[in-house]
Amino acid sequence: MRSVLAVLLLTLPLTVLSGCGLSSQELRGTAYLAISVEGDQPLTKAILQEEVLQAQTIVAAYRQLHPHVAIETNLFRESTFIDEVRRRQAAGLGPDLMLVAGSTARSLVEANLARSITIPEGTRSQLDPDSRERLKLSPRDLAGLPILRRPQLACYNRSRLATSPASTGALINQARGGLRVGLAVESRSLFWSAGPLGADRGIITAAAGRPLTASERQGLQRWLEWLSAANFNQQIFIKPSQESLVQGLLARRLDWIPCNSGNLSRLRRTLGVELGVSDLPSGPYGPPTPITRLRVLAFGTGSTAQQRRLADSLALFSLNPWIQSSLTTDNQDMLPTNRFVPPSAMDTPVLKAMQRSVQQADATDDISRLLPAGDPRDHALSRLVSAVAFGELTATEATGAVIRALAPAP
Amino acid sequence: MNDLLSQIMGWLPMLSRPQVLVQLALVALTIVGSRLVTHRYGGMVTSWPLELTATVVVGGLGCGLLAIAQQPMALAVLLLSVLACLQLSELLLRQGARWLPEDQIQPLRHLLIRPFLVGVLLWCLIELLDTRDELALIPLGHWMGANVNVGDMTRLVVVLYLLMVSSGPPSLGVAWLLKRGFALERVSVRAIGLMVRYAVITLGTVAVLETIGFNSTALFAIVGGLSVGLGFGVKEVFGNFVSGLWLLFEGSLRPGDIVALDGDFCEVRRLGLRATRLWRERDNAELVIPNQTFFNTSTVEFGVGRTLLHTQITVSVDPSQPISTIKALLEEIAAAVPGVDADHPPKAHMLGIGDCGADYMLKFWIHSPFENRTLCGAVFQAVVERFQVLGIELPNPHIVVELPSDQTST
Repeated sequence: MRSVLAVLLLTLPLTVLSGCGLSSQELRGTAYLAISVEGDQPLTKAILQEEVLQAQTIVAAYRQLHPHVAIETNLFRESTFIDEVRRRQAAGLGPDLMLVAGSTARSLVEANLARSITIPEGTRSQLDPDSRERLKLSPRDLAGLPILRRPQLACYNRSRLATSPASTGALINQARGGLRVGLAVESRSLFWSAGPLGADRGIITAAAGRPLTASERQGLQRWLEWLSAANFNQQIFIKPSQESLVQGLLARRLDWIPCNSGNLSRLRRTLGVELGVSDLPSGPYGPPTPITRLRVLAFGTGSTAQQRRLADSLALFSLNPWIQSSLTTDNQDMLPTNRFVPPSAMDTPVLKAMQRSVQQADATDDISRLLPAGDPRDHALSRLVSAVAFGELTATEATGAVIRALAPAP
Repeated sequence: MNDLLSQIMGWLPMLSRPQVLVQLALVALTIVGSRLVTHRYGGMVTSWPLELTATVVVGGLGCGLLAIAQQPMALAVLLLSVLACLQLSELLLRQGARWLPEDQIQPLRHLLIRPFLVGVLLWCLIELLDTRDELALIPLGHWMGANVNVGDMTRLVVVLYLLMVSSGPPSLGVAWLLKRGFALERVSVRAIGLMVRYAVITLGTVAVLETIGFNSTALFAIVGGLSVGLGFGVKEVFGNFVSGLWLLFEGSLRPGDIVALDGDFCEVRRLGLRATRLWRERDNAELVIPNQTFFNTSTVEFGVGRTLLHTQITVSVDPSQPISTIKALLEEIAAAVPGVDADHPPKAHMLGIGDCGADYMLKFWIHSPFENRTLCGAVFQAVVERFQVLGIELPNPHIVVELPSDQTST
């Protein structure tokens, strides 16, 4: 009898809660938003705030229109995101919305952990074509709704450096002159340097599993030699992760780092006007090849009808030009995915640098597609780059190993 | 704290999803079903094998149906697994009760198995409903110079629990080594073990507090304040605690020893830190005596294996009887009583001439203080019976009332 009473006590409030709001036409209830975090560094309050900043801004604006809506956010690592969602989905506790990298959104749909979306032509035409292309599943269906883009930039301390070096050669020269440069062995943080040294084509070919031409192999070796030589410079610091670089610049131990636009709010809070932002240096073999992180809203499959309505409504709201414009101009740490954001909203040096970076990133679209965030090959490549940078392997020895590590699993 | 509460409240709507409610209902049905089966076929006493079997069968069938219907069931599997583990542990404890005493079964159940299962359940539920890393970052407050968050507090509680539960056997091991290494013959292993255990718990707690960032000066101030509070407020408890430690350390009182308390012999059953538990043979009562008692009063004590008691009775005999005959007779009578130690022959002494006659003391040895009353009575009875047979008078005190002569004549 006690067990029956306990069951009633347990299920009654939940049933009452589940019934709440169904009778009302106004949107109300709670939706669950899972946000992915790149990298393997321990989660800190600062990283958490950085990752949820844009989502919080969108939710805060959305709640002004729908005050009875609550959005609960959870953060997962990008590398384990799909497993986490699968585990929760198996218990019926999967998220309603997921703010993830574009590649993860596609993988989620392929694994039946997210539903594809069919958006009206009017909304579809508003989307930035590159972002749309990266998420296209069929002519009408997308793997998710692209919300924002976070380009890779050069961040530096203006009290130590007036302008960012325009080329990789100038960067090394300035490092010889005392500029403390930080580089991370995380491949996604380092890919920008592949283009200037002519290694980008080799990486794409290897990641696609095709045989490399002699010039592509030479380019790859040149890149690894440059990394190896960089470490011999006492003023170039090779760090294990992108987060270490950010911490270095924040603590003024480093003067110049490649950064992601998502880091800008945090850097700006500490460095203030001393923070300089620019596009990354080019090199003798071409422009930089930065990676733009596309953030996409993917839609969970385990939601109730009410939660699904809420998720759809929030996603469409986050795409409207007004909210995209405010997100862009308020924090200046992202680029919108809506083409109809007025150009005047993008007319600042930081946003212009981001736009240049996005254009340069077109060359790395293939890298992003072939080597998605959280791919195990990414870790293998980082380990090899680390071995070269610290002199455990010569560039010649590492070239073959890198090609093998990048090859897709059969 | 508000953040933590709002985070936990945020889980409730997630639990109101139909697929979650179905799983909770299955778990409830399994509990009720297994109870009903047990009551129907197992009688009034809970039959754990029957209940476990019913849980596995009903739960397994329910999960099978969910799997066929392609519905989520991981939550139900988790809850049912914990329930089955709980029932299995009860079953094993019942079996273990044959070899282990009840006072060891209870700590095993309440300090180890149940907290462990509750911990595992909480851990898994948090992993399903939230993100552990993110939850750990929720701030609880600013205490003693440290920003304490949920992760810090959880770490502190878990470390304290683990230290308290698991430090016992290793501490006894260290104590045994110390005793052997330093030839501390008089000191109890348990006393050294307790000292080691409290030292480990204290150091562990301080270490965790230090890693959290608690200000050590503030910690010492609190410890100082507590000491003063203990001195004034609960000095009796504290006094008993110190006495308990000292008794253990000194080794003057150990389980199995026999002590005389208010004229009664009692066996030491358990030496606690606050009080000692004694068993009194006279009325089969267990006495809980504060440890300070053994410090403030002198105590007659017989160690384990050293229980030979030299006891005595006094007898008044007709003074006209030859002294040497009576002494020999008394020694012979006592030696013949079963229970009187034969290795130490009884000795009789004449004490003098008393009010009733010649007073003799008969001293003899017995094997256990608990037999003192019985054997003294038996020896006395044997003396009386033998003297009656031999016609030797055992004078009783009697009052002679002499009336005046005039009253006699009337």
